[in-house]
Amino acid sequence: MSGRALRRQAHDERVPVYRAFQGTVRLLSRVFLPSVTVEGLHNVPDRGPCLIVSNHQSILDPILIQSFCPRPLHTMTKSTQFGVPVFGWLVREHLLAFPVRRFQIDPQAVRVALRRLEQGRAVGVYVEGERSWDGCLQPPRLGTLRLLLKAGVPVIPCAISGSYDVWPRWDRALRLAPVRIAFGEPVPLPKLDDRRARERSLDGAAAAVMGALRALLRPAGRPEAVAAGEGRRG
Amino acid sequence: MAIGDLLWACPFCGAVGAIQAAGRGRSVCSACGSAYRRGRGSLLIAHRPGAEPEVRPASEWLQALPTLAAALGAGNQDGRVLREDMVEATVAGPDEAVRRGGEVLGFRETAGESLTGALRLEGATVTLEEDSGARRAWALEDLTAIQSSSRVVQIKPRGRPVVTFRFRTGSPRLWEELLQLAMRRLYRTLGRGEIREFQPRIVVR
Repeated sequence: MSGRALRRQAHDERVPVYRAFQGTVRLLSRVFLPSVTVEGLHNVPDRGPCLIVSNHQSILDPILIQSFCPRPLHTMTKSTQFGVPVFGWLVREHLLAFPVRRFQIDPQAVRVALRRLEQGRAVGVYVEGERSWDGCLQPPRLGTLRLLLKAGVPVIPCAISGSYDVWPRWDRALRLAPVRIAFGEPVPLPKLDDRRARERSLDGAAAAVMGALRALLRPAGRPEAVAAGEGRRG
Repeated sequence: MAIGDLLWACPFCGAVGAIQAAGRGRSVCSACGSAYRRGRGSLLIAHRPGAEPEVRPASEWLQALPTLAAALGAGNQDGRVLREDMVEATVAGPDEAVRRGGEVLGFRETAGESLTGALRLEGATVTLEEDSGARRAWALEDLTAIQSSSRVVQIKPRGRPVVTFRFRTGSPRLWEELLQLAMRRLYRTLGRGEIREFQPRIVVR
């Protein structure tokens, strides 16, 4: 993490435990994941509300993205995590997470996300909704797209590649592999207050967001790490 | 989590649910004897009896799987048992508020009643025959969402709490694929349309 990025953080929230967590993960990653590269930090606004929209390859993604993103990220997190002893307390009190329930539209999660944006914070969401089984991009969740269209704030794509090679969903073991986190230019999406207009714009928003993520995932020549095709759903 | 969770069928012989963990990161197909292990990064190495090892990314191995529809045959409305596995089931309890300071951040799911038994997909119904002999059933028609995580499959019956199945045998990913296939077929049969996503709730187009 550059000194400039750290200075930019100073403009944002006072979250000492979160920053300590960031520093610890960055330090550990230098030892255990020496080839983590972060690109496009200039695309993350210094201040003001924004949504950081990521793909999800591995359980490591939230840890790495939160640690290397220059701004504290308020993230929607699976609600069951909040019941885990110690960890639940940590994510609630210090790691800026708020719960989202599965199996229903969770209006409270959307309310809290919009409230954080109104407060000028950066909110992180995983547009696929869950980790990929095969490392490929999966179709986006419609509820997340609706949030992006309702919020009307800069939408910053954040593509993480290689974390699948480190720790894929189907294995318990970690392996060393290069990880790349790339923040892209804001995806131009309209702010739509009308529900019907949002519904009409879902396909376009999906194409724009997933296209931006796919473009950021592309460069390396390691197909297993940066597979850019859609998953085998549907 | 194991290779058998990713590969719900053997890419070589097509046997469904046949790949089982065989210790030290290795899995073996009980039908044809092919062995699988993780290679560099997320590459998967397959050792087929009498053949050279094959190394491919996970996504390519998945492309080599048979379609589940072909593996299961055409219909699922005739009451056949399409799959049976032993599970531990948990019925969700009431949601609890998650607060930070004075602010309600949201709500979290809690675990309620626990059960063990045989989970079956029979025709258009998911049943659980408990070890005690009691039987519970959930009609696919009444499910509003299906989701798998790395170890469990969860279903949400309309107006009832979420039920989580943790598998003692079988793969949660296979079950998710099975349930989704059965739901798609049922929705087509009932004229409800094509399912676009299965969670947070089933959406059709």
